[in-house]
Amino acid sequence: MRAGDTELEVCARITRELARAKVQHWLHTPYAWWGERTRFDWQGRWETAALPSARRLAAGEPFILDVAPLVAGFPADFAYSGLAGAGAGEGAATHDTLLRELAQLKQALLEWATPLTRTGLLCAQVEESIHAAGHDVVHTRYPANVLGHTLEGFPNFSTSAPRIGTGFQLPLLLTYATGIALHHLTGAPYPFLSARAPGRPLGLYAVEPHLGKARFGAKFESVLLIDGTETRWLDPGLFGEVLG
Amino acid sequence: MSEARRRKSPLADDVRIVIAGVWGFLLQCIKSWQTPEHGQNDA
Repeated sequence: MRAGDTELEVCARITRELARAKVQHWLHTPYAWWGERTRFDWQGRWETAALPSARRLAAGEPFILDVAPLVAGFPADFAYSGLAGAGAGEGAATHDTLLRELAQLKQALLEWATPLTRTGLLCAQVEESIHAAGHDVVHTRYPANVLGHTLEGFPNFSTSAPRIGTGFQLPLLLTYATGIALHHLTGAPYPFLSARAPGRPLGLYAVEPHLGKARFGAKFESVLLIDGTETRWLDPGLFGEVLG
Repeated sequence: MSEARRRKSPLADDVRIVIAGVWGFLLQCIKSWQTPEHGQNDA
């Protein structure tokens, strides 16, 4: 990441690198948000406002990258928050504060996310923790207001769908629409972690708490395994190496 | 509310989520096709 890069340029770079790794299908193509766009205070629909823009990254500004490729029908979904170069200004101070809270949340979720906890209460607990730290909750501004979404049920009929434009792709739309339909028709587990979600969390989830403070935001997105005997992150560090 | 009823999400809310998802997807497609720079993302 370099000051002067546009969101579009960096997303194109990520796409090229993933293409070298044989990625052809996506839950969503790369997103990049710079500066004030990291906290989603935009007007209009999320899906169009979130698309990468021609905005250039300035030195010392926070940024977020988020990408969800499919490989052989299996999804990954990870996000990273960083700062453009070493900074000592408003952006750097806010960014440090947000990363500390994200690190605490990542650790706390290991205790909070169990099959004994109601999903709605888990999400409420995360929101209370963010508010108690004096920060704003941003992940509720995502489509469906989700803290996370299941990664169960892949590969499926939709995962080889071709890419259409930029942003959310057909495998994401079709997988979660089908998941919602199956929830109502057969009582299958609800596919989202959100404050209004029924049931209890169980299985594999992409979890993406997103916080805001002052003009900026930060998030991580990592894969969390919740089963009957253990809860663990596939990448235990805040933005760490995936251990499998 | 009973335990059994709490096990399912309200249907109307979920219909809205799906419709909003489809509508958002269509708008996103139109915007990305209308923005030449998004072509740079294509591998």
